Amino acid sequence: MNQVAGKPKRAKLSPSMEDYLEAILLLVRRGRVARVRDIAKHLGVGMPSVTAAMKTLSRRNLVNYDPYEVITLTDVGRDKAGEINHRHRVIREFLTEVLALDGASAEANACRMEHAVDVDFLERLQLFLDFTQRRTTDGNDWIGQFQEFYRNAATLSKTSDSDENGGDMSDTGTTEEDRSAGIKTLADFKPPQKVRIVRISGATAANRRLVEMGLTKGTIVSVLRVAPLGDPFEIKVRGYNLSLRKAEARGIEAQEVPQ
Amino acid sequence: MADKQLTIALAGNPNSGKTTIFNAITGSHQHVGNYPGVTVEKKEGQVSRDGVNLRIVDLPGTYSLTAHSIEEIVARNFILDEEPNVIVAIIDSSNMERNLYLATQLIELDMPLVLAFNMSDVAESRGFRIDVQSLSELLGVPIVQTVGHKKKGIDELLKAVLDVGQNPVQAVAKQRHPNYGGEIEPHVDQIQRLLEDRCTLDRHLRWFAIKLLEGDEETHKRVGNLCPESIGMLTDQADRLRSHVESICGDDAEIILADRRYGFISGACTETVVQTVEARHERSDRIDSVLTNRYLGLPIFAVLMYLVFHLTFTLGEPPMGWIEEGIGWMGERVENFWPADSNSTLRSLILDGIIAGVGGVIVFLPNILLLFLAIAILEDTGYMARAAFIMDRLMHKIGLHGKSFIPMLIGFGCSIPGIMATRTLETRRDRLTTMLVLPLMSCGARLPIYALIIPAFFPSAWRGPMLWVIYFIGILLAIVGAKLLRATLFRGQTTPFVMELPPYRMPTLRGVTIHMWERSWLYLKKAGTIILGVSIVLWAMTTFPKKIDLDRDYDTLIAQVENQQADPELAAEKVAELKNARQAEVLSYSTIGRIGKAIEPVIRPMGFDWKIGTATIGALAAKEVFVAQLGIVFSVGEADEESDSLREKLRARYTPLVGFCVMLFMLITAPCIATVAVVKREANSWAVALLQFAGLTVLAWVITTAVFQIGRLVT
Repeated sequence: MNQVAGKPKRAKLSPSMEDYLEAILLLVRRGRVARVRDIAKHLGVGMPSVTAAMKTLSRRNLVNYDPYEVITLTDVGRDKAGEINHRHRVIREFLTEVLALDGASAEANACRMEHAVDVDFLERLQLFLDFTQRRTTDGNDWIGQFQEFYRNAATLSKTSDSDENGGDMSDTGTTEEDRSAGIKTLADFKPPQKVRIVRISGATAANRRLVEMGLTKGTIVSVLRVAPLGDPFEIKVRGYNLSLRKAEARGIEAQEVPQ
Repeated sequence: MADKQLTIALAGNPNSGKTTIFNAITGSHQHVGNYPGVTVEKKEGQVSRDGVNLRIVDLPGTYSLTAHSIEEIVARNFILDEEPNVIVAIIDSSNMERNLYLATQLIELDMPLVLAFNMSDVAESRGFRIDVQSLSELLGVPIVQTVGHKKKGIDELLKAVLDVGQNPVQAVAKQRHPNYGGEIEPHVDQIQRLLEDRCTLDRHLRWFAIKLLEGDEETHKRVGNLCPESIGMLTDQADRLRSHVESICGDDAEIILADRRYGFISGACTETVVQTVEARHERSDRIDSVLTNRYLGLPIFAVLMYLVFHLTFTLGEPPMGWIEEGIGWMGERVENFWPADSNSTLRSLILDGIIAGVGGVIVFLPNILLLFLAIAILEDTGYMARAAFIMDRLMHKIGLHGKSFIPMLIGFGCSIPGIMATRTLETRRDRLTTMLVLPLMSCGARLPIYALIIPAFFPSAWRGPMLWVIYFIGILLAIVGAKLLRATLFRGQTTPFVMELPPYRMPTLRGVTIHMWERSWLYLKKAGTIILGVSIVLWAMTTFPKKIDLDRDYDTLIAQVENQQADPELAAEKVAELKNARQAEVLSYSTIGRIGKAIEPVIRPMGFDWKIGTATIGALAAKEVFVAQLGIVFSVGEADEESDSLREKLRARYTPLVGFCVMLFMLITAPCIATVAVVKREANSWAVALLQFAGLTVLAWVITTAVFQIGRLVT
């Protein structure tokens, strides 16, 4: 549908759109080409979501997208992606160098934070980083002292945040954001689990169709069975049976409901 | 009697029993056509009641009134363009919430509406008790409970329709719109007012307003046509309001509105539907746990498919014999009408042209009927959807949709309804790919060819497997072809596989018969029209130009042999040889003989001679003509002999390898003219139809040549 085209052009990009832009930039920087498949693999999302996103970004003149071509960034898109990536790097540096988070955790948090901060915050953060480095070279190692303080605290209460985050990273199928929030998609459940739909966006045609078929937010869905060849699978929703592919189910956030 | 006329549109979800209700209302007074410009079937019927003529139009089955599929667009355009006097929404009572979703959208149209709660018996047996009275008050729409296949409630339904149709204003005034809540309603109002003031529209205002807010492109176009001067302003407003809604609710407007509609429905249902029995494992689910079982699903599917073809062949045998006898009897009657040694062209036309040609096709009617019967049963029970479910992974792998499987399966019956069934596919890319490879699903019309060739060349133990092999090769090629097409011409993403798996139902005799008959009728009609015409043309091509002065004086030679040869067996052999030689000479002089000879260098590498060549040309008109044509080619000049059957002649003339190659070629080669015409119509493109025609012919030649050449080396 033409909804997105009708929206004002200068509206802020959504976090996931920013992620897509950044992913293209990183792929290109690593000397690889950015095709839908590569982006999907990079972000751990389904190809249909990537296509939908590319269409949106291309409408905003941020990427050059043609269904069968390699995706490239436009000049505006490259600037935008660079800016997002810059935010990411500054935040990650702060998280690793100052707060001493481990790499994976810092990466995951930076991914989430980069979308939320504004220019002023970033500038201040950058200055703060410069400041701490200068102080460290001065010999006044208060950061080292903080890190020691942190390690002592951590041994006392054995609830290590970084472990949890690290463990979640191994999940597949969900977006970076969802993983760390512990959100699963409908594709992650097996028969005979019962789940509640937490979120379903109108980003893809499949999603819109599914909503019309009754998979609205809050609906309880039973996973009935998987087809003999492993895909698609069958669910019961609003008293009738519906089949859908796992790739489509990945676009639906869901939560298990105790039987 | 007053001749007042009301137009009634039947709307409803697929599988809601809409067609059953339509049949129950209209009986046999119906005709099937297409909606203008698109290839969506339009069924219409007439019925008269209380002095009012009711024109009943069956809209395509849809889940919603968005513009996501061609069926939805057709349904809503019919409603908006033709303004039916009453809309009847057929609701599957055992699946109320989703079925009511369409109804809520119909209510928004502000048109006289009646709800038919169909399959109320099923709902009861599942333990639903619906307070119809309260629900009707809540929605402000009359509700009638029906059981379509038992014709229960049809009278009451028509009465309600007449009531509403004769007092449309009051009926619409009573209807209750779903309320979208404080964030959205003011926006709907605002757009509605603009439509009223700036565009002086007076119908479907709320619906237009909601669709504009959702950003619906079709509505945008429609409103643009109705008031071109204000559409720019309206779009701006609608876009602005939509962004606002989306920023507040954090989602697409379309999703939010759908959500609210379901909210409205859930609310209404909680108040009016009581489930008396705790939802348990239903019968349908139990059946599914076997038929789509992880381990049993595929074997059962394969066995079912095998059974379908096996039964088609074995059960069809006896009636085929009867028909054959009947045709033989008729041929004799006609033959005896003329003196025994007559050379009448008319006799030849009737015997060798019409009876041999059309008769050869009608003989296979039992097979066709059985195959269509099997497909109708699979469809009406609900197994077809499971077949799509089971096969989707595979179909998806080759770039198709599980739903493509159903048209392809129908393609085993006849390519034409199969190609028409691709309408259920949502994107053009999927449709075209399916259409292009569909003729590789060996159609029922090719069955006569196999039925002729297989027993002629192969021992009876091989016959079943041989048929299976041919069908299997077709399937394999279709897979490869589809994959190739999706990798080249039709690249891109596949469409979502969001498909309802309707509950298993006991098929009704009536429903199955109608389905079977509708399709078989297409086949018979072909026999009566195209094949009759082609048979005559082919007969003419076989007969003319007539060779008057033969190279040798066969009659004298035969007489000589008969007089001189003492041994009667040897004499008969010689005579037969001479007669064959005469035939060959006459035929090679005829038009078709010349064409056959002209293409002989091309078909030689496949092991075909010009006789088979002429038959393949005949088969272009319709595959089954191949058999008829071979019959004509081999019986020319000896119509008064009934001794040798065609099979024996073939066996005498060709090797089993050639027999197999003939089947292979006929399996793959260009589809019949009727199919080409349907593909052209359905794809709306000559290029696609011609691409298919040429592509398949070349493919058939390459493969058959390879098989023949390799086969010849091996044997």
